[in-house]
Amino acid sequence: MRRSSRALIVGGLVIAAALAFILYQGLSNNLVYYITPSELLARGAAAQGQDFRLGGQVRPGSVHVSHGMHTVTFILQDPRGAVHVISEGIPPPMFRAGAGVVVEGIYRGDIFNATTLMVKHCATYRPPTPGTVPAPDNCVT
Amino acid sequence: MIGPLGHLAIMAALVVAAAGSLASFAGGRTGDHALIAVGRRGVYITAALVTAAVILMLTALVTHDFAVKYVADVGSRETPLYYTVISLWAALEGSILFWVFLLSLYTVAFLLTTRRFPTLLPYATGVLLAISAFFLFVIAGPGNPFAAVHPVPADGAGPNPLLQNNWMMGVHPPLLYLGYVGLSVPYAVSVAALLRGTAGSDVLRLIRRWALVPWVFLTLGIVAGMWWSYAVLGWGGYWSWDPVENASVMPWLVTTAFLHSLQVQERRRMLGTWTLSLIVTAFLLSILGTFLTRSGVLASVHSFTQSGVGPLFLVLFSAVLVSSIVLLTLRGGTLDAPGVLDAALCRESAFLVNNLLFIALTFTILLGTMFPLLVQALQGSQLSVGAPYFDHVAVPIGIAVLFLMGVGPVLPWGASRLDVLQYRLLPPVAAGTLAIILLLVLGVRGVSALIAFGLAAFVLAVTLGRVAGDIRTRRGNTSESWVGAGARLLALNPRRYGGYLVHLGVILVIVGITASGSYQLQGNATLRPGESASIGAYRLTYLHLVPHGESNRMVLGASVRVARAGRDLGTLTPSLNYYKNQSQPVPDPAIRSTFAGSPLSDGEQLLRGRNPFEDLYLVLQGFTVNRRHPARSAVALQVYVNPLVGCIWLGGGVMGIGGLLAMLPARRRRTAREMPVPAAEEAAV
Repeated sequence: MRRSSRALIVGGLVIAAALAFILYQGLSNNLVYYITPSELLARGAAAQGQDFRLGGQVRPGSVHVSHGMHTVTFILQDPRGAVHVISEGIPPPMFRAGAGVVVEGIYRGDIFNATTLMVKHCATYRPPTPGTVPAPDNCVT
Repeated sequence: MIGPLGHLAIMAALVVAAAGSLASFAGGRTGDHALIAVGRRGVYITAALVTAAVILMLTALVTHDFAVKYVADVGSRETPLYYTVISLWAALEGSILFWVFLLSLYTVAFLLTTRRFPTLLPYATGVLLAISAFFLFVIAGPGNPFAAVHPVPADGAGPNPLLQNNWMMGVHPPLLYLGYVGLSVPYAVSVAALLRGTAGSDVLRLIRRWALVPWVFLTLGIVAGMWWSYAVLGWGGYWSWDPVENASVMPWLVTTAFLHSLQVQERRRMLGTWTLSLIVTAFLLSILGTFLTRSGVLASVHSFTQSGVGPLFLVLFSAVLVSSIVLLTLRGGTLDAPGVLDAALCRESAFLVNNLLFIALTFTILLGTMFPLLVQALQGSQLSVGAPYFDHVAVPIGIAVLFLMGVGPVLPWGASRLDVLQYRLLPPVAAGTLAIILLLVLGVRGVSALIAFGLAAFVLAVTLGRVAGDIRTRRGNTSESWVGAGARLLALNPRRYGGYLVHLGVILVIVGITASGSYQLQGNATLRPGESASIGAYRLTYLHLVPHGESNRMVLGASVRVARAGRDLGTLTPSLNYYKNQSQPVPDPAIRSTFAGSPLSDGEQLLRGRNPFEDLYLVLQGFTVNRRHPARSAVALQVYVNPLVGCIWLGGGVMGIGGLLAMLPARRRRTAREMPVPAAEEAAV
């Protein structure tokens, strides 16, 4: 084998190893689990400081919009549990009590700090049942 | 009446395509001209039948024939004519019909333009007809768009509001489909070459030309998709590493790798099997993309079996994968000359590293896209891979690719001399460094952004330097004018200069992505009539709401007066569109691009260290109406200032033009001096 091709193979292996490392690091730091409030509570202390996508229903009567519409707080619930959510920014047009929403953010203390808030794209909504895989958008059709 | 006729056309096309495919393979094997002619006729008849089916479907859509299932699914009497016509590709069944239609057109074009290669053509025709037959089978059975609906509804729901919110929906999907579908042709020729065990340089040229066509369409389709995402979705960005976006960029990356490795194959007869594997992979990824975007598997692993189309795609994917691996292992070895690299630092190794980087990037994106599906299938838990993962990996690889784009064209084939390299690289390195210093002085900060800008300047200098050098050399020999020499060179070697033009387009795109990704400003404001808010150099004053009705929707706009650095720029009207078939309004952002601004004041802005080329992007997020005190009604606005986004659209166009140029056949060279492979390098083989 010529010296140059050996150099190429070594170079290729170095690149592959570097890539594997970057991929592993990138994946393990950026996995966001999609769970329900009761599943979040069931995780206990392990959930502290972790990123999640949380899907549930806005408990009627729990919504407070701050002056200037810059933050909104509400309780996100499923049939077996409920979590307090603080969301920065203006809530989307269809956000209202009883709506099905998905929030993405970090769970700290007893409060879920949402960076994004999405309303499910359907008129009727059924909260996901823990233990089962939620339907694409938890819609009842 | 249209339903049964359409179904009949598809069934007939399926039979003709399947029979034609078998006849072509048999003809290729035996050399029987009658069988080969049957296969050829099969191509034309299939194309005619599929075209008839498409015309029938369009007629059904336009005449609102709700007895046809697909029309009942996506049609509506209120939808404007333009969106009615383009709803041909708004849902699964119609888009597969469209897929087959494009494939049959590609096959006809391929047969009509390819006169030579009598031994390869029957096999390639057989492969293409087999692919057609597969997709025809899908819409003849499980995904029949012409199925009857009982009872016939009086009206339909209409297409998804997002698909009828912007005219781009008539441009972006066909471009992308032309890209996806077009990869079938180079794949078919590669399979034919492997089956025949011949892949001479003329065959490679054929594959290259037919890979460039889908490459150009994919490029334009991806950029058009970014533009659509930017102009319609209202989140201020254009790329979110959505699986659908990833699905479109993966075949593009692999085809790009193919176009580069092909040059090594042509010059040095190395990497032949590897090169063919790339085009096969690109086709596999285009099927995977169609499967991912069209089967519902992304919503949930468990939902894709519901349509019956998903499993079929999986069967096709596995069949192509397994047969390609078998073919490449059994026949691949026959294509390679036993060449070795002469030196670590040469054009060949630059292309090799380029290939590795493109494949690494593709693998990264594939992993991130498929990982949630794998976990869900194996564990049942739902998760997503965040955009930071993709950025985390794509940015370093992108920077490495950019670096290679500068170094590659400078490196000679075969061995290289360091002093020549130094001489060639010194000015571009100086240009890159100068660009970084200049940007630092202007107040630009951020390590990776500065590296990207510096490298962009470096590549720009290399590319322009190469072109200028070629022109100077030619003028030295021919005493032509600069323009004349440039035009003559372009005619002699459109591939080379088309390629450089693509690189210039890439630089524009990278500059646009880096600037808008690193220096986006965003903010939000809740304003009552007459109130103002500031962002960057802009001052926004909310005036009033402007509602108006259209046949398919109600549009509620917020009129906002915009001033930039004290200069009045008129009003922008971001709006919320309420479609009849959806309770949730679709926000329609208002964008003002200063690419359209006056050059005088832009120059003044630049001198003050402010970037003049930016977009102001307004989204109406919500409003409150207070009837008793109209002055207390308010609107909530999300505001973005996106610098240099226009570079991305411009760069995409430049890349497309470069790709088209590279497709042109080269003018015959007259002198031996200009032969493609100089004697000295030939000797090195």
